[in-house]
Amino acid sequence: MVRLNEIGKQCPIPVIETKKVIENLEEGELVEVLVDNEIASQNLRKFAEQRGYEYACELISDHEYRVKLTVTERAKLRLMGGERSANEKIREIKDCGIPSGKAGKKSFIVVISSDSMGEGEKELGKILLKGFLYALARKEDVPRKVIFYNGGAKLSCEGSDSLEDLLELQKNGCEILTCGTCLKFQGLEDHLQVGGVTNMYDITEALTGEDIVVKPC
Amino acid sequence: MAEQLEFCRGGGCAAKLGPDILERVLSRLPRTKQDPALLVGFENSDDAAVYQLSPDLAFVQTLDFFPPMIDDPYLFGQVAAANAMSDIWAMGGRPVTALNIVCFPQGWDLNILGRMMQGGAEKVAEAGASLCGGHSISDVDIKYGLSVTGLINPKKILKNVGAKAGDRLLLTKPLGTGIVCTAGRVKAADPRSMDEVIDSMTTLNMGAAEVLSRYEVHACTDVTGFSLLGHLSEMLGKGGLGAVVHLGSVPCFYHVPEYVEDDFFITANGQRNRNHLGDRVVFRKAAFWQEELLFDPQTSGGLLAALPNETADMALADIRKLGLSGSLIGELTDHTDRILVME
Repeated sequence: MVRLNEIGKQCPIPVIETKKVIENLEEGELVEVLVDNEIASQNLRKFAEQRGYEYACELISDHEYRVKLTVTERAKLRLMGGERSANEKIREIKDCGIPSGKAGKKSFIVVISSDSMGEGEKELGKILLKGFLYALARKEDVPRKVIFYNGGAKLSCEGSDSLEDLLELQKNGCEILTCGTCLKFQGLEDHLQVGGVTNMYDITEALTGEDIVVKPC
Repeated sequence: MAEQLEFCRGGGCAAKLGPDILERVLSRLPRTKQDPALLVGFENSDDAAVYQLSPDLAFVQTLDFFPPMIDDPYLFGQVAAANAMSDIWAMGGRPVTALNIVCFPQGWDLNILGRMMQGGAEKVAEAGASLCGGHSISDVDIKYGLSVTGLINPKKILKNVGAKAGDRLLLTKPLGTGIVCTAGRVKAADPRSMDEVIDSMTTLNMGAAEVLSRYEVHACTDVTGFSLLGHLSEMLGKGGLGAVVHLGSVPCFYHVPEYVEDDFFITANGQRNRNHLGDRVVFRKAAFWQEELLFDPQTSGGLLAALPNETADMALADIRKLGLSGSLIGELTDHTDRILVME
C-alpha cells in the first residue's frame, strides 16, 4: 500500500499526485490518500469512477478524510491498453452510452409503483413489499436509485413501515426519489420522510437510461 | 522566476467562496428598510446594485477582486479590470469611474505591482471610464480588482431573471478558463490554450453588451465563478422555468477535453458548483469533460443572455461580426425547473 499525505494541498494536486502513483501499481494494490476537505475526496471519487478504481472514503475528523483507491482488473487493463485520448473516449460514449459505474457489475434502479407487492390479498402484498425493501437494504450491491410513484409514494412518507430501510439504503449511497405529482395528488407533500422529490421527466430518464430497472411485481 | 511562480497560486473567480456558504450568510443579514430608489439589491444574486437618481438615470455599482490565475502581472491586471467592469455591462450599463483594490506583500518587487496596475488602468481606459483612486493594504498574497460605478437608464436594466420559456440562450465567450488556468498553475498548459484563455479573459464584454442593447433581451448575466450552469440556474429563478443546453453548441478552449479526461485538472470550486446545483441539472449522454466544463468556474467569462427566438440569430450574427466567439447554446423551457444538458 502507498500512503499519500495531501493535507494542505489544493485541488487538483491531490488527484494529480494520486494518479501518478496509482498508475504504477498492480491489480489489487491500493493507495491511501489523506485529504483535508470533502471536496478533495469528491474529486478523487470522480477520478476513480472515470478510471475504474475502487473508491472508499472514511471521515476521520472534520479536517481529515482517508480515501482508499484500489486497482481493479478493469483499471489495469485499461492502462495497459495505453492511455486513450479524450476524443476516443468521447466516441465511445457516443457509441454505447454512459459506461456503468462499477467494474463488471451492471448498476440497477428499483421502481416501486404501489404500496403492495404481487397480486392477491392487499394486506399480504403490503407485508411482502415491506420484506422486499428490508432485504434490498441489506443486499451487498446497492441500487443506484429507488423511485416511488403512484401508490408507492406512501412508502417514503410518514407512517410507512419501511422508513428505516430507506434510510439505510440512502446511507449506502442509494438515491431515494418520490414523484412530486403523486405526493401532491395524495395530499402527502408535507409528509415525505426520506429522500427527494422527482418528476416524470427524471423518471422517464431513469427508466429509459442504461441501468437495469427492477420492479417488484 | 521564483517570484513569478509564487505570483500565481490559483485564483481568479475560482477563488470565490462557494455559493452554499454565501447563501447561508446572506440569508441571515438583517433586512433594512428598502430604499425605494434601490432598484436592484442582492435579493436575486444579481451582478450589481442599481440606484435610481432621476426618472432617466440610475447608477450601477459593483466590486470584484481576486488572487492571480496567470503568471504575468500585467495580463492579470487586465483580466481583473475586464472582469470587474463586466458586471456593469451585464446589467446594461456603461462604466464611468473605477477604484483599485490592491493587496500586496510588503517587500515584494514593486515592478510587479506597477505592471499589474498598469494592465488594469489600460482596460479601464479602453472602456472609456476613469480610474480615480483606490486603496491598498499589505497582505501575504496578492489580490487585485476594482470597484466600478456605471450609469444606466432605469428603464433599460438587464436583470439576471426575467427570461421566458422559448427564449434562446446566447453565450459570448468560450468556457474553460478554470480548467486551462489550473493546467497553467501546474505548468502543464499548452501555449495555444493559454493564449486563447488570456485573450478571452482580457476581452471586454463592452462590445457584446453594445450589440445586446440594440435587441430585446429578457435576462442577462455574466458567467463567472459559479460556472455556466450556476449562473444559468440563477437565471431560471424559482418559478419553475427550465432550460436545455446543447452540448454540441457550447464552445470551449483548445485542449480542454484532454486536460479533464487525461490529466484531471479539475478545481475544487468546479466540484462545489456541482454539489450546489445537485439534481437541478440532468445530463443526458454528456462526457465527463463536458460535465466538468459546464461546472467550471470562469474568470472574466462572457455574457449569457436570454433573447426571444425571433431575434436570437440576428444578435448572434452581430456578436460574431465583432470577432467574438458567440454561440446559441440552448433555450428556456416551461415547467421543468431543470437544466437538461444533451447532445
